[in-house]
Amino acid sequence: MIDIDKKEVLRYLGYKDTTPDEKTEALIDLCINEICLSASPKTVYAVFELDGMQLKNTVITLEGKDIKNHLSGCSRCVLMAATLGADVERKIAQAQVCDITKALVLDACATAAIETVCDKLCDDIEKEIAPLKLTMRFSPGYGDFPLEMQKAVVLVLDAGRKIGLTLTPENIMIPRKSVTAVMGITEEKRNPKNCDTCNLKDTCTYRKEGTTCE
Amino acid sequence: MNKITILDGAMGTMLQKSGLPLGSCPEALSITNPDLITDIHKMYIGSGSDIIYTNTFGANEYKLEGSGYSVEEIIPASVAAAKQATVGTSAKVALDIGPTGMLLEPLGTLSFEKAYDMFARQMKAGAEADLIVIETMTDLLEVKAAVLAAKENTNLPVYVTMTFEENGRTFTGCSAESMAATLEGLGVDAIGLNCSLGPNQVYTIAKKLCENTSLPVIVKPNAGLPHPDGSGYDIDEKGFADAMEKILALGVSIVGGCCGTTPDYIKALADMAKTKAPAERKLTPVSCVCSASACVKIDGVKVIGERINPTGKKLFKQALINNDMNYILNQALSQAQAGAHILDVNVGLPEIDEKEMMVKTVKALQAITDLPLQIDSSNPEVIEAALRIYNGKAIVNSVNGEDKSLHTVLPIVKKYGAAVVGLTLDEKGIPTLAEERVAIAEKIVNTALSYGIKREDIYIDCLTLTASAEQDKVEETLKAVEMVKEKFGVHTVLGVSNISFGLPNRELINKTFLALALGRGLDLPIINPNVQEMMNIINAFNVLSNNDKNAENYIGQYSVETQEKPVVNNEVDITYAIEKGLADEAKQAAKKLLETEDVMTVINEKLIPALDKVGDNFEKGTIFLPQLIQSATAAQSAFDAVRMSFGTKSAQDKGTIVIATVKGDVHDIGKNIVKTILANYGYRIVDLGKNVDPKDVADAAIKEKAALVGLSALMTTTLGAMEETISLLREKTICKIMVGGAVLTEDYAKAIGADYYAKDAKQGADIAKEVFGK
Repeated sequence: MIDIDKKEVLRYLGYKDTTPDEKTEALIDLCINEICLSASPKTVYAVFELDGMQLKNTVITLEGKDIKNHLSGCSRCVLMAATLGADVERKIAQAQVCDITKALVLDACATAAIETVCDKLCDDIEKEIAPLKLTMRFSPGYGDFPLEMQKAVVLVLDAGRKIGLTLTPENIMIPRKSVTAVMGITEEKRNPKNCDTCNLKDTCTYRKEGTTCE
Repeated sequence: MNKITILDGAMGTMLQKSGLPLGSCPEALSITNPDLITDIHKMYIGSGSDIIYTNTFGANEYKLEGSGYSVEEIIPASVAAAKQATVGTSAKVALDIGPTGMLLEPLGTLSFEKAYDMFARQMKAGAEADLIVIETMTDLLEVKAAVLAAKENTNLPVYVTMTFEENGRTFTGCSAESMAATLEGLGVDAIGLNCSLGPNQVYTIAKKLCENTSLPVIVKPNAGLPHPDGSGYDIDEKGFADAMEKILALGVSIVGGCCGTTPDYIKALADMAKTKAPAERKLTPVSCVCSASACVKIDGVKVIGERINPTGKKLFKQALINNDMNYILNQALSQAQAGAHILDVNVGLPEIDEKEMMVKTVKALQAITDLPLQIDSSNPEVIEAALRIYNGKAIVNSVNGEDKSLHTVLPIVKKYGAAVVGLTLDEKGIPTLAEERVAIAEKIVNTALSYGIKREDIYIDCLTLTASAEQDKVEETLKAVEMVKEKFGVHTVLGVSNISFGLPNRELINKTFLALALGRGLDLPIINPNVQEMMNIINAFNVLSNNDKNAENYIGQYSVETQEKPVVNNEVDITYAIEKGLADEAKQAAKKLLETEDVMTVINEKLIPALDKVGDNFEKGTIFLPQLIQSATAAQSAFDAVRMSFGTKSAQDKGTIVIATVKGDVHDIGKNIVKTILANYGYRIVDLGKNVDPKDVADAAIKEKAALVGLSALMTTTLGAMEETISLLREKTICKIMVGGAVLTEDYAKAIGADYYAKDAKQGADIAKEVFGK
C-alpha cells in the first residue's frame, strides 16, 4: 500500500497554507483511501553505462543540453518508469460522471501517489548503489530534453511488457498517472529542482507565489 | 489432439545473446540477417518445437516506424526465414502478432477500428504462415481487433495468449474467465498465457483457464522470475521442465517458453512432454457473460437493469437528442450501485442515428462500468456494430421466431460469440397459449443450435403481457417459463415491469409478479434495480430457493441496520447552501422559494448572485477549486428544481457552447470542471469528450449552431492539435474560441489563433458572459 502525503494533495488542489473546510477534508481522506486501494503501482528500471550521452549497448542517445548538464560528471545513469496502473484511471473516469469534485480530488491524490512511488523506487535504488547517490529525476519534456525521448525510454525498459506502460503517438503516457525519468549516478546528492528547465515555468502557480514545487 | 504440442522459446533472448543492442528493431534482422533468424528457428526445431513463432512480434506500422522497413517487407521476409528452417521437418510456422504498443480507447487514444486496420495489414502480409499466434496481450479489446483481423483476412487457425500478473489479471484488468468466455465465443482455436511470470507462478492462472474453456490451453511462461539486476531468470532447464510437468497435469496441451528460455529449456521441456498425452479435463458447461474485468455466471437469479432505455422516459429521450452522454452514464452507475448484474442498453429513437449512438454509448459505458451489457435493438446493423466494439461477451436482445429475424441476427450472434435472447413471438404476433410460445421457443433454440450457438448462450423470453388488458394470459407466461426451462434446459428472461401498465400501485403488481415468475423458473428478470423492494424480493428468493447458501448474502445485507440518510435541513438559505456546496439543501431551498417567487426572480436574484459570489471568492483566493465545484454542483441541483417547475423546456436559451479536449489528449478533467460551472449559467453545453478529431469539433459547432467553442489541452504535444482545430473552426464557422489547459498562456493562446484564454473555469464563465452578452 502506498503512502499519500495529504499536504501534497492539498497543494495540487491549490490550497496553500489554508486548511480546507470540514467537508472537503473528509472528501480528501476518502479519496486518499480509494486511490490507495485502486492503485497497483509498478516500476521498472535499468542502469546504463554512459558513453558521452549514448547509453552503452543500446541505440539510445540522450538529446539536449539540459540532460547533458544534468548528467555532467556521471559515468552511469538509471532509466526508470513507474505507473499506478489502469484501475486508478477508471476510478477517476467514473467519478467524472457523477461527482466532478471527487474526480478532481482523486486526480490530485493519484498525482501525489505516483510521486511517492517514484521517491520510494529512487530510495531503493540508492540503497542498491550506496554509497553512491542519484541525481534528481529528469523526465522527457523537461527543458530541452525532448518528449520524444519517452519512446526510447519505454522501449529500452520494455515498459509495456514489464509494467503495462504505453505511449500514444503524441508520447502521452497511458495510464496517465505514470512517470519516466533519467537519473545520474553520482558521488554526492545534488541538483535541487531547477525551474529553468521546467516547461511549466511560465504558468506555474508556485513560482507566481514566489515558491517552488520542491 | 493426442499429443502435447511443443512451441518454441524466446526469440528476443536469443537475439540479445547474439549482440543485438537494446532498443533496436529486432524484426529488421529478418531482412538484414535472415540466416541468423533461420538458425535460431532451427535450434528450436532441433530441440523439439512443433511450432515456431516468426520474428514479427513488433512488426506493426507503429513499432516499425523509423526502422526503414514496412510491414509488407518485414513480415514476408520473417515468414520465409521461418519456413526455411522447417524444410525437411514437420514443424509449423506461426505468424507472431504482438500488441500494437498503444492502448485502445477508452484508456488510450487508439480506436478499435484503427487497431483492426493495423492488425489486418499484418495478417495479410503473413498469410503464408501455417497459423497465427496473437501473444503477450494485456487488453482484451485489442485481442478482439486482432482476432477479427485474422479471421476476416485469412483462413488460418488462430491461437491467442495473454500476459497475466500474479493477481490473475492482465495490466488492463482482464481476467482468465473473461478471456476464455470472449475468445471461445469469437471462435479462436486455442487460448492461454505467455510471458507474465515463471511456470510456478502461472499455475493457478493456467488452472483457471483450463476450468473455463473447452479449447486447448497454451502455457508459454518465462524462465522463472527475473533477477533484480537484470542478469537473467531464476530457474534452470530442469526446474522449468519440472514445473511445466505440473501444468500439463491440469490438461494444458500446448507448451513452450517465453523470456529467458533458450533451446536448452525447450529440449528439457520436449523430453519431459513428448511421451505424454494431454491430461483429460472435466468441464461443466456454464452460461456466462462478461466485460473484460467482470464475468457474470448465470448460476442463479441475475438482474438485468432496464433503465438505459428511452421508452416512456422524457428526460432520457431529451438526453439522447442532446447527445448528453453523462445522463446515460449516470443511469448506468446508479443501477450498478443498486446491484444490477447486467445492463440492458437501448438507445433507439426515430430522431437519432441508432447505430452511431449505440456504438458511442457502449464505448462510453465500458469506460466507466465493468458490468456486462445487453445490446437491445431490433436492427441487425446496430447489433453488429455494437458487438464488434464490445469488450467482452455481450447478450443480444433480441431475436424472435420469424425466419427473417432468426437468419439475420443469429449469424451475427455466432460470429461475435454473444449470448442471445429469443422472444417467443413470430409474424403472427404473441401466441395466447403457453404451448404455442414453447413451440416458437423450440424453433429459436434449434435454429440457434444449428448456427453453432451453444445451448448455454440461449435465453428465452416468454413475454410479459399487461395484466390490465389481458389478465387471463399472465398464467400463460408463467407456464411457458416453466415449460421452456424444463424442456430445453435454457435460461429464461422476462421484462417484468410490463405487467402493471394501466393499474394503480404498479410497484405492488410488479413485485408480486416478480416473485411468482422467480418461483416458476425466471433466471434473468429485467427490472429497475433502483426500486429496493424488487431487489429485496430477489434476495429473499435466493434464500428460499437454496441458492444463497446459509443465507450468507441475505444476512450480510439485512443484519446491519441500514444507515439513515442524512436529514436534509429545510431551513437553509439558498445562498448559504450554494456557498457551502450543499446540493440537497440547495434543491429544497429552491423549491421553497418557487412557492412564493417566480422562476426568473429565483434565477436572477438568488441563484446567479450566489454563484457570482462564489466565483469572486475563488478569484480572491478565499475558496479553492474543490469548493468552487461543489458550489456549482449545488447550484446545479437548485437549477434542476427550477427546471422541474418549468417542465423539461428549460430556461436554457442563452445559446450553445461546444466543448472538447483536443485530438490526442486524454486529460479531460479540466474541461469537465468548466462544463459543470458553465452549465449553471443557462447555456446549452455540448460536450464532445476527449481525444476529439478537429473535424468533429467543427461539425458539431456547425450542427449545434454554437456561438462559442471551448478547447482544452494539457500537454505541449497536443497543442498542435489545438491549433489545427482552431484553424478548421476559422475556416468553417464564425464562432468564438476559448482555450485552456496547463501548458497554455495568454500569449500562446493568441499565437495559435484563439479569441480567449481562460486560466480557470471561473474565467471560462466570464468569457461566456462576454460572448453571449448575458
